[in-house]
Amino acid sequence: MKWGRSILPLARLTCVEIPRQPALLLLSTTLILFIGSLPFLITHNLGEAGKLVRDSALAMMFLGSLLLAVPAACNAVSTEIRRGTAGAILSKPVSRIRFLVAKYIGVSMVMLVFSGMATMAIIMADRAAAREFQVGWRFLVPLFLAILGAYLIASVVNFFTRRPFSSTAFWCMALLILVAFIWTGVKKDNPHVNETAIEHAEHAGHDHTDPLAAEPVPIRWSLIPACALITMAALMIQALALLCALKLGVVPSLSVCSGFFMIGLMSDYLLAGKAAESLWAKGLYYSLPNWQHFWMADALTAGGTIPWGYVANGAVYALAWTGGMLCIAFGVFDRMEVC
Amino acid sequence: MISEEPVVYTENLQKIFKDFWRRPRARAVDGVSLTLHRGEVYGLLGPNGSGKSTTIKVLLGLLHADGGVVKVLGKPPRDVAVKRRVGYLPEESYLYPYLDAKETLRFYATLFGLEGSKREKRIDELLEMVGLSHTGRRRVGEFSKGMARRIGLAQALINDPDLVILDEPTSGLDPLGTRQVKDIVSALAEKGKTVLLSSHLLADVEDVCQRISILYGGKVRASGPINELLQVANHLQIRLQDLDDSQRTRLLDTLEIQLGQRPTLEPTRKDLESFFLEVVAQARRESGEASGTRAEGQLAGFLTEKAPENNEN
Repeated sequence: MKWGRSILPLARLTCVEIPRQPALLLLSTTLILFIGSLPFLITHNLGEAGKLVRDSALAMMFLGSLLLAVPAACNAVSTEIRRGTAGAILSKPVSRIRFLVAKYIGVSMVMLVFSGMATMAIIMADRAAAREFQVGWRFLVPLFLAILGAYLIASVVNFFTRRPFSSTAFWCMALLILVAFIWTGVKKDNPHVNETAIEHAEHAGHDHTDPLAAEPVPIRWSLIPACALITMAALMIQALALLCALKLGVVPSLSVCSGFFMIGLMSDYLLAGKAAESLWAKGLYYSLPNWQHFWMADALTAGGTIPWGYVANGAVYALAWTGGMLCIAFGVFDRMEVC
Repeated sequence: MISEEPVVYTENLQKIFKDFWRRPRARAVDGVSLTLHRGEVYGLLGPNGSGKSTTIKVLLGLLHADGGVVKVLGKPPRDVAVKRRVGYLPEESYLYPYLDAKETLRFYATLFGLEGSKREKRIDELLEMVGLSHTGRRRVGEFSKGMARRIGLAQALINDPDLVILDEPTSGLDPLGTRQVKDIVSALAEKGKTVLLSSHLLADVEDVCQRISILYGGKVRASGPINELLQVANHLQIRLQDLDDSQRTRLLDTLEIQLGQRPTLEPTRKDLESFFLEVVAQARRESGEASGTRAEGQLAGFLTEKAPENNEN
């Protein structure tokens, strides 16, 4: 109870403050727009549009999480230390461990909202690219309208009430994408669109009797565990970014986290073989984050599903690694002098 | 009235800043000993880089002392229970630029566990006290430096602290704001609060502090009650009112005969601050409110209430 008393307001403030930075809004909008654009960027050029859209969208979410988590964590910690607000808060009855936990929770809340938006955008993009040589605009238009609507609402709100534009747009975007997602989920497919698909198929020289063209496009629910795993990876990167942000600025932190990102992607290739022979390689292999555990695009392509047990194991792994990073961060911050 | 209970106690305080290789880079505080009592306004004076802010940050537990003893309200400064009873106005107004004045105070209030109507009442009273109750949804990032100092002062008092540490509280304020802050500081001391005031604006310190320490190069160079330190030995002042020319001449003649030296007579001058405040007060009476902030330097209601002995908030 006492813990929550100082952690919650700090976490809430962090959660309120981060979306007020225009950079976060621009970055998240760009990523969502890019995910939404993948079906029509890819469909008319290459075959296997569904696979390409899924892979690209998940990769975009993974990379986007890195790009968002690092500046957000840096803003929550290093900028506050440099700006002096951290010192002002630590002069209040807030222990250093609570400060860091609150910052982590606050940034995590924003990251979870972004992951939620990205997940819904990926599912809508996947449905839009479900049929070869056809863009399912009925899934994409609501997504784009949600983004446009969020910006319009934020402008009006800002004009009349002076509420910050960036954060209003960010939260509105999350809400409207949810509305768009539900709307496209419950709305029945329009048969005219399927006729168009057949015409497209005919133009492209394909068999117009493709039974799939007339079928409604189901929601690929298996994308949710895949996105959940990427979200966990993002929360791990965020813990590392928080540790880096104690001593470094945004650019050096981004460099370190990108390094970990790359090494983590290649850790199986670089260290798995050596881990059996050498103790240091084994230690390094197990202490580095292995992002391959969180990258399930290939499993989806093969038509497989991701068991929730696997997701739970991933959560334990992410929790342990994040806990380790935060413990190191507590150790560093407790000895640190805050000017 | 000053009791003997030490609110702040440091003895031979040392603080050395080190470089990346842990080698000493600068000795910021070198053997500083201070004792502050309840209800006292204590001034820390010194030029830039003399160690005032470093001493304050050690007292707040933000920096670690490299030697000596530090006790704040009888406990080590990093004790969270101590911080519950301390209010701090930093040298720069470190505020969240995207929050408005109320949101800022609400945030700091919740860190002290203040909730509901009690919190809102305090916020309204403090905003009234510092003259910012009319700022509405304007973000503090858009505030002038003076307004930021005022909101900084308000956040320092949100928990009704026993010890108030003010680092350059009047920097960036106009003379009117400076006077209001000094009035608030004096009123706080009257209510039994201890105030540690760091400044290089000597007139401000002289007006409100009972005791001072002057730091230079991290060391205390002079310390004691301000009246004693400023007393010039063997110099006396006689103050007289409404003398006409003949009375003046007779007085000078008499003194010359009695003392063997002819003294000089000079009219008493007001200080510039008093003159400025008179002019502004006159202008206000004539043309109504003109300042961007409105306050009279009176304490917020909750600060004047009698607090229980073991003050929690």
